[in-house]
This record gives sequence, structure tokens and C-alpha cells, in this order.
Amino acid sequence: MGNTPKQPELAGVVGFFDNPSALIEATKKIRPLNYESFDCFTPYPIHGLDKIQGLKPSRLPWVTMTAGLTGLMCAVLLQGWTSVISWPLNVGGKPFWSWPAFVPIFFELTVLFAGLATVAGMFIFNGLPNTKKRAFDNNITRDRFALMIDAPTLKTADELEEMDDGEIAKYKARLAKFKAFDEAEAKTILASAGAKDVKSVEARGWFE
Amino acid sequence: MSENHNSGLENVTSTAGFTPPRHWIGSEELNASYWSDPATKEKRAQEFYDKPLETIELIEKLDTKGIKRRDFLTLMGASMAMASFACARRPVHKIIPYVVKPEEITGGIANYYATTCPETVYGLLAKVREGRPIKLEGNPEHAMSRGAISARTHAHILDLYDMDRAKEPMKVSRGRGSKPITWVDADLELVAKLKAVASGSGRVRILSNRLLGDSTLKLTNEFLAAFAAGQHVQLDDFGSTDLVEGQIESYGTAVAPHYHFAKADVVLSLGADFLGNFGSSEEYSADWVKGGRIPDAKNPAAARMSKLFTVESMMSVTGANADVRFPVRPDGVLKIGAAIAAEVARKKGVSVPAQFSAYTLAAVSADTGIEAEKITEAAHALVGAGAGKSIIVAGGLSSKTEDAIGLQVIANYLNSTLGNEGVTVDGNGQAWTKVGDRPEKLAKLISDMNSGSVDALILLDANPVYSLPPSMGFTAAMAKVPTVVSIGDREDETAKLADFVLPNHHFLENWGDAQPRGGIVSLQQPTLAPIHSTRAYQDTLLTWIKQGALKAKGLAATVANSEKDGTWHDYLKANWKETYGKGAASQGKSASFEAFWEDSLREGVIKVPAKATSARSFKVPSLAKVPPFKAPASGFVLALYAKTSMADGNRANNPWLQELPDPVTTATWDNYLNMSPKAAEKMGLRQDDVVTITSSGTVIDIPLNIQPGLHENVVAMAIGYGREAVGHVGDGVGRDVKVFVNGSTLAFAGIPVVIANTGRRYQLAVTQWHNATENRPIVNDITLAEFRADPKTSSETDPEIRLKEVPSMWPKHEYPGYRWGMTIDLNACTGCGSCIIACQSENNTPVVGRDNVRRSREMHWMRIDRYYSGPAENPDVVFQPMLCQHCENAPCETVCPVLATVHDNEGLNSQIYNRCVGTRYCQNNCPYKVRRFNFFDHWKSYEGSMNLAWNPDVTVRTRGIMEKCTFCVQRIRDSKDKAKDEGRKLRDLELKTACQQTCPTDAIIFGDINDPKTEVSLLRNDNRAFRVLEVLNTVPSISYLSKVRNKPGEEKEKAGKEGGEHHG
Repeated sequence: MGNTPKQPELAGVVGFFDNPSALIEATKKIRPLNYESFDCFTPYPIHGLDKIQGLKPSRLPWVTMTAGLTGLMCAVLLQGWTSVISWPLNVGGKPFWSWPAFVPIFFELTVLFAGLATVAGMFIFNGLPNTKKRAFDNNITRDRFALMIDAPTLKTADELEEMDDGEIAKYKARLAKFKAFDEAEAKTILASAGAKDVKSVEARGWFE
Repeated sequence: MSENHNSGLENVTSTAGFTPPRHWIGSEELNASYWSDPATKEKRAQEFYDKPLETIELIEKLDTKGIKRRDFLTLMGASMAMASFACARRPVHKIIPYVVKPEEITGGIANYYATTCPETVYGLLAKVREGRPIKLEGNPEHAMSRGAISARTHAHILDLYDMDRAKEPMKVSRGRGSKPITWVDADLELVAKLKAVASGSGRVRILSNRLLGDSTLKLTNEFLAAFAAGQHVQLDDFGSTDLVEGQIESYGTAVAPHYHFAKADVVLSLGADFLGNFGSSEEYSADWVKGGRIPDAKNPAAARMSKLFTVESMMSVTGANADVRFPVRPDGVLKIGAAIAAEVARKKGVSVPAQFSAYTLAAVSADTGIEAEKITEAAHALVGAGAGKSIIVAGGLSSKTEDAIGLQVIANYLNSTLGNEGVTVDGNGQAWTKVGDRPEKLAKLISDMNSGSVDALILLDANPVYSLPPSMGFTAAMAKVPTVVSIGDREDETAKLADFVLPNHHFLENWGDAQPRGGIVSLQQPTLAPIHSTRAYQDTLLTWIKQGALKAKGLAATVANSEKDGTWHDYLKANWKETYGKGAASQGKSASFEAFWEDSLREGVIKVPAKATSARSFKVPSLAKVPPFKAPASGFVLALYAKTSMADGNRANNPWLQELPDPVTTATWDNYLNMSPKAAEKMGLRQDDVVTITSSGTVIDIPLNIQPGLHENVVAMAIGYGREAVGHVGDGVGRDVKVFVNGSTLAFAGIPVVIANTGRRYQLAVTQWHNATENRPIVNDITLAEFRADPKTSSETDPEIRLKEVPSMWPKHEYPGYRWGMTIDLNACTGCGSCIIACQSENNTPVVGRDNVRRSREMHWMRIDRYYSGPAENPDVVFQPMLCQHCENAPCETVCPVLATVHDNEGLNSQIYNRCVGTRYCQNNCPYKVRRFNFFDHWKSYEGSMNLAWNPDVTVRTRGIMEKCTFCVQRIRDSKDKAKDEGRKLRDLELKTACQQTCPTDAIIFGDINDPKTEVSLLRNDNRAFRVLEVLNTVPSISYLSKVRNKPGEEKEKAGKEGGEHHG
């Protein structure tokens, strides 16, 4: 981890597996090791992998529901106000509040609000767009079952100097909570967990 | 009741146990095979009357006119491409305010001027906006019109703006073209000629239609006095010459009697269409209906109705309204009349005249096919009504056989025998004294012309070359007259063969007066300055007197030679001062003549007491005119008749009249041969087949219309068609059928003819089928006996017609303030069609032309549906005016995707033109089919001066939008504004829709249905009231009142069941 700008930054260590079950087995083994961060990459979703990884359910559905209800309410208010209060029109003797006629708009506005909010939420929760450097390997996102143990972002000596004591204590406490990362050790662990191919991955920016 | 029930198609598709629908449109519906035909089902169930595919096929089949579909598409493609290059600016129209505003004009406010229509002599109110008349209404003060006028009178407004009017004087070279000439030059030439004639033999003839104004008549006679042998000949309408002839025979006076239909309990019409176009038919309709056709629903058990018997050869409006109708050959009218006369005499205990002895019940019955007991029934009804309680009226073209005067004498005999003379038949008090000249005088004129003993012929608004039967030889005779001047409105058939055409003012541009019959005096005043370079006939005479120093007599000389160049206006005023000036003062009117004159102009009429009527004594020798009993001609006999719209065809260039559906046949735009369904079936003829009619060497071909209710041997055709020089609208429409009239006998009916099929087809533009439904009960007619038992009776076929409460999902809307509704009394509606044209005039409804009517694209907001019931040989008729029902739960509104049609807070179903995108969903969903779609920019057919006829209060609709009856929303607004200015609510009946305003019988009542005391509210709760297709829960704002017939036949049937009751 030098601070020489030209030297590529290590993003983590990745192990490639032949099949999903091997990946699952490996995940089961690596999770208890208490690394700060590791992730699995598969070409298609593998049922149950998120649980094995210990990922919590997404908060996105709550966003979707809230937005959907807001949309519905807007539709009700919009149509109610225009058709009953602002400019009531007697159409074929039917009541001004003829809700069956409004159902399409109810549906449309609900879906519109929910859909847009979900997309926005997804971006926000995932921290997208991510302009920072992150791991990049051609195979990870293509056709291989991969498990990557991330290298934690450690503070440089200069940064530590600028921090006050409290912050340093906090930083150290966080590091102490997890297993310390060591490139060679991680490679060994991955290999022993059944990875066919283990290698280090560098972090790259978007346009490098 | 239920065994006759037949509510829809599904019930009638099986031939076994077939029950024909109770109300039917055409006789084919009476056959099971019609209903089992899959094409029928498809046709009647489809969304629109015409399918685009059919239209395309039609266009492709039309080789001769129009363009083919492929060509059309090619052209369209090219024009689309070009349209993107050509960006024309919209034309700029400037609205320029008055620099000096005339005192009487306020922009947006109509002025009404009282005037008189010289053709029908009905008093009018002309609605004038910004200096141009836009609509005619009856003058309520006028004793004949009482606010109502006929469709024809309404349509005069369009004649005023007719593009084909003569616009300047013309010198004509006897059929070889014409060239414009100035008035000065025309006068110079003519005065020189007239001067020469005056100093010579002085044989000047003025040939005019019947003149009904004293002043014009007087001026004409004074002008003619300047000539040693001047003579005035007035043409009478052929339908009523015999009436006068008969009066002369029987009573010795040349009058046409006035009939008091209000006082008659029983009316027997011997061919006379007094509800259609015989005499002053609007007045007669009003009297007849109000005098006893509306049974009292409050006391139904004792309800009474007058009774109408009609004997006729063609089904007329009167026949359609008759309680008992005898369809006979033209000669049968006289035979039945004579048989009834003999029976009446017998019943009254007077000796039966010898002339009637051959007309025994048995002989007449065998000859005409009418059962003897029906004839006696009519006679008994007449006698049973009591002295002076009946009317026998005879005449009309379709009964004008060679023996027409005999028929009149029979009617006169009956009237005198029954004590009607001097009571219901008024031959001296209010009788029509201005009756035109006898046919002999006309024949004498023609023979004089032929022998070269006429020096100059002046034609006033007369077109004898067309209007006289060609066999009278007028055309050839006219060629022998050295000088022929036609004073009229256009270069018509006669004018083309004259020397000069001097365009006359339209009556709305001219002064005049009318004293048609005792007790009626009205004034005619101009409502706008002359549009074209025209001059009043009267001014023309005065100018000639002055310039030619002609030795005219009396007032004409005084006025013409006065220092300030007296005009016709001066003459009229002077004549009125002489005639009425003193009388007015004594009546307590303003003492000064000027004030009296102003008053008269404002009111349009002056009240002069009519002489009391007294019974004239019947001259028994006149019975010699009754012909001996003749055996009928074998084969077909032709009866000519005049339509209510077209009459004698003098106004054939009026598109409103051309497109007004005939009340009975509902055909527009053409004339045709009417034939009974039975005869057509025997000859293998279908509707729209073109047939040839041959009679003594004369052959014409004409399309066929199958008309129920005709005698099997009768065929009938309308006169007034086949004009050649009337203008671009009327030229070549239909066939001129007067070629069949014998010039010496002048028989318009009873002409033996031979009919043959040509194998060609010609689609008549008949409207009644356009709105054929799937046979849901839509109209209700009951007999008087049924009414007495229970006025709420629906006829047995229509159990659903009175469904009062249909469960609703929703609460109803509230309509605070006014809520508009209408009732239409089917008993009062005679089907005359006046309301259709009134609506068209008020609401700028366009005319669409024959081809579009064929495709059911007529635009009339109001139509009159005609339904038959009973056997096709002699059906009953019910007329149902159908317009937007302004349903509370309007089906049209629900389906509009752009909310272009919604309800307003006064219950009106409004159409918002600039929101409409033309989906036609509403038209499809309307159960009453009253919505009209603008397939084209129809307004463009109103060219040039015709644009002045638009009502500025109503939007002129463009292509691609839907329109329909608005309950005359502009009139509602106008009346409400007036009431608001005066700080009050609208009074009942203060506000009238255009159709209601003109209905002579007050069949249409409009008003506020929130107020329980209004006329319309009372009628809505009448026992007879029902609403159409109530089962659909549309809740129409229009209620109809069931038609009640005073039919003895059915009463007898019922009486037989119920234990014998006879009404006479």
C-alpha cells in the first residue's frame, strides 16, 4: 500500500470457482472469517447466496410502496379536485365522483410514482454512479463464479496525522472489529476454499 | 295483450307464428321473409345506416359522375404532398363598426318588423339582425297565422337571398339569350311601345298569380284603364278553382268559403288536404286540433273527440290524420261523396235527389271496394253530429277529375242539408273573396293571344310556360304576342321566352297590403333595402304612367303625376287613408292618419269587423252537375297531387324545401310514382325501380315509391318538379308531370295510364328508413274507447313504453333554478313539417343534397318520423317529431372521449363544437339517432348573398363535428337576459323554441319542469304522457302524449265484447 501514485491500488483478492455449489461452499467458509467486506459475483442470480453471504433484505420496497401510495393520492386529489370541486361536469347524469372512470389514472399515477422512485432509490442506495476506483476484472462480471475479498481502504500516514485522537480511536476500533486483510493470506484462504484460480485485482477508475 | 307482444328481432325470425310489428315503416316489414333475411338483421343492427365499404362501392359504381376511389386516393396523395408546400394565409375578415350607427339598430339585438307574405297572406314578424332579415315568424296578432306559419312560408327567407334571382333588368330575345339593360333604357323602350298600344287598340293583358292585396289590385286596374281593352287575368291555384266553381254553381257567389273547423264535431274531407296545402292549412290545422282533437285526460270516461273521415286517392297529410280513411280511385271520391249524400238525405228524411239515385250503397261499395257499412257509418256520424256541427270539404288536385265540379256540388249539398252552411261553412262573412279567375278566362286569354289580338302581355310573378299544363298551348300562344314583359324574381321558363325581364322586389323588400278574406287586413312593409337592382312591380306601373303620360285613372294618376314622383309607398298610404283612415278614427284609434299608419305598421294588422255570416240557399239545379254513375277505367289511373313542400314548383330553387321530407313518403329531392304495395308486387316492381308511364302518347320515366294506403289501381305523382330554368338548385330535379293533364278538361286526376318497368334503378332519397331500430316500441297510439277505459293504456304491443321507474345505481343530479323540458302531443301533431324548417332557419342547419340524404347524412335537427300500423291496404299513420331528447342520463355523453357533450345545470344536453373531434361515438350510442355529423363543410353551399341568411346567434358548424338540437339555447339565453333586465323570473310560455313557436297546433310545449305549475309540467303528468325507450333509463326531458284515434271500427269490436256501445 504505498502512496506512490503510479503504483496500482489493490482492490482485493478474487477466487474463481467452477460452479455455483463450489462458490456457496467457499462463501460458507469465508464468511465466518469476519473480513470487513467480501462479495460474490455470478453470471446469474443464485438462490440463497445472499443469505449465506449474510446480506440484509433491501430497503428499496419501502421506497416503492411509499412512492406508489403518494402517486395514488395525487391521482385521487387531482381527479377529485378537477371533477368535483373546481369544474364539475354532469356527464350522462353520473355522479361527479364517478370513481370507476378514474381507475386508470389511479393505476397509472401509482405505477409512475413507484417506478420512478424505485429507480432513484436503487441509484441512491447503491451509491451510483460510483466515480471512485473499484475492482475491475474482465472475468468477474462475465461468466465466472467469483468470490472477492476486498482490501479495506486504509488511511495513509498523512491522513492519520490530520485526524484527532477520537477519530483515530474510532478508526482503530473499526479495524479491530474485523479480521485484518493480508493479500497472501487471503489468496491461501481462497485457494483452500476451493477456488480454481486466485488472483489479486487492482482498483481502476472509470476511464483508466 | 301479451300474445301480440313483439319487442325485438329475436321474436320474429321464425316464420311460424310470425306476428308483424305493430308499428311499421314499410310494407315489407309485414312479411316474415323480410325478418328472416340475414341481410335485414345485419342492416338493422349495424351502427350506422351506411357503411364506408358500401359507400366506396357506390362511388365506384358511379361511372358518370364523381371520381373513382383509386383516382381519389391518387389525387389525395398528390394534394397531401402539395399541401406541405403551399402555405396559404387564412383570409382576413374585418369587422367594421358603424361609423354612424342607425338609430334603431343595436348590435346583437334583433328587431322584429310586422309584414305579410303575399303568397299565403299570413301575417309575419321578420326577425332582422343588423339590417338583414334572418328568420320569419308568424304574427301572433294575425287572425290566420296566430304566430304559426308553414314550412313554405319560413323558407321565403332563403328565396330573398337566392343567388339565382334576377339581379338587373334584362332584354331577352325570345329564347335566344338575354343581355343586361339599364332601367332607363328598358323604360324608354317599353314606354314607347305601351304608348303606341294605348293610342292604338289598347289590348294589354296583365297575367298574374292571384293578387290578395286591395292596393295592388286597384293600381293594376287603374293602370289598365289607360288602355282601351286592358285586362287583368289572375291564375288560381288549380287545386281550388273547382271550389270556387262549385260555389258559383250552388250558391251563385264566386268565393272560397272559410271553414270553422273549431266548431265541427265531424269532418268529411272529399280529397281536400286541408291540413296540408288546401286553403289556409295552418289556420285549419289549429282550429281542427284545438276544436276537439285533444281528449280531456282529467275526465277520460266522458272524453269526446271530433272525428275525421277522409276519402282520397293519394295519401295526404289529412288522410294520414284521419280517423277513418277511404282509399279510392280519383273518381271514387265523388262516388263515395254521392253515396254519403244520398244516405244523409235518407237519414234526414228529405227526398233523395234523383242525381244520387244511381249511387246506391251496393253499387258504390262494389265499385270502390269500400264496405257499405263504413259509408253508412260516415253518413250516420254526419247526421248524428247535429245541425251545423260538421264540415264537408272537397277539392284538391288528386280528386280533380273531369267531374270535379260535381264533387263540389255534392259537398255543398251536404253542407246545406246538414245545416253547416252559414255556421261552420262561411260563404259570405269571412269567405275568401279574392279567388283568381275562372279557367275560362285563362282559356280566352290564350285564344286571344293565338289570334294575335293581344298587343302586350305583362306577366307578374307568373310562370305560365311551366305552371300551366303544356297542352293548354300557352307557349305557342305567347310567341304570337308582339311584346311580352316578365316582371318576376328570375329569368324563368316564361321569362326566357319574353322580351324583357324586369326583376321585381322580393316581398321582404317591398310594400303592400293584403285583404284576402272578410275580417283580415294586414300590411306588408320592407325589412331591408333591395339587395339587387330590382324595382317593385307597382313602381314600374307608376313610372310607366308618368313617363308615358298614360291616361290611368284614379289614385294611380294622382300619385304618378304628383310633383315629387309618387312612389308605390305613397300610393299605398294614400289608398289606406282613403279606405281605412276614417274608419280608424271612429274605432277609437289615433285620430291622425299618420299615427294610425304607424300603429298599423307596428302591429302589421288592423282589426276590421268581419260581416256576420248567414246561410246561403242551395240552388238545387246545380245538382245537375253531378255526373251519372260511370264505370271506372280499367288498369291504372293517375292522380297528380301537390306536395306541402314543393306545391306548384314556383320556388323549386329553395334548397330547404327540396330537402324537406314529404310528411307521408319522407322522400326528399325528387318526385316519383307512388304505387300500392299490392300492385307493385303483382307487377314485380320494387322500390326505386324506374318505370315508364304512358298516357295517350305521352311517356315519361320516373322512379317508383311504394306507398301503402293507395287503392290498388291508383298511381300518384307530385307536380312542381322538373323545372328547367329556376336556378342551380332546382333545375332538373324530378320530372314535370303536368304533361299528362288534358288542357281542355284540366283533369289532374283519373288519367288512365300504362306502367312498364324499364329495368333501371334510381335510388330515391327517402329518410324514414335511416333510423330504423330493432323494433323497440317507440310510439303509442290508442283508440278513444281504450282511452275512455284507461287513459294510461299503452297499445298492446308496447308493455315497456310506460316503465316509469328504472332502478338507478346513482343518486340523480339536482337542477336548481330552471330545468328545461318539452312535451309533444302526438294527437296535435299533424306532421306538416313546419317545425323542421323553423329549426333549420333558426339554427343554421345546412342542406346536404340528394346524395348525402341517400347516405342518411341529412342534417335536420328535428325530424318527423312516420309510422304505419294496421294493414298495408289502408294503414293508420302516426307522426312522431323526433329531436334530441335531452336525456337526464344521456348515453351520448358517457362515451365522448373529449367531454364535448355534457349536461349544463339547466338540464340541457349541450354540444361543445370546438371541443368535438368527430369520433361519432355519441351518434352511435344515441338510442334516438338524433345526432347529426358534418361530413363536409356543408355551409359552403350557402354562396354569396345566401350567407346573409345565417343566424348570427348560432355557430356555423364546420366539417368533422357533431351537432344536434340545443333546445334553442340562444333563445333561452335571450329570454333569460330579458327577464333578468326586468328583474324577474321567466314567465311560463314566454320563452318558445323555434319549433314550438311555429307549431300551428301547439303540439310542442316547452318550459321549466322544475315549476309544477307550468304548462309543460302539467302535460308531463298528463295521463297520456310517456317517454320514448324509457326502459333504457335515459330519462328523456321530452314527454310524448299518446295519439288517440276516434276509430269506430275498433270501438265496435270492443263494444261487441263489452256489451254494445256505439259512438257516432
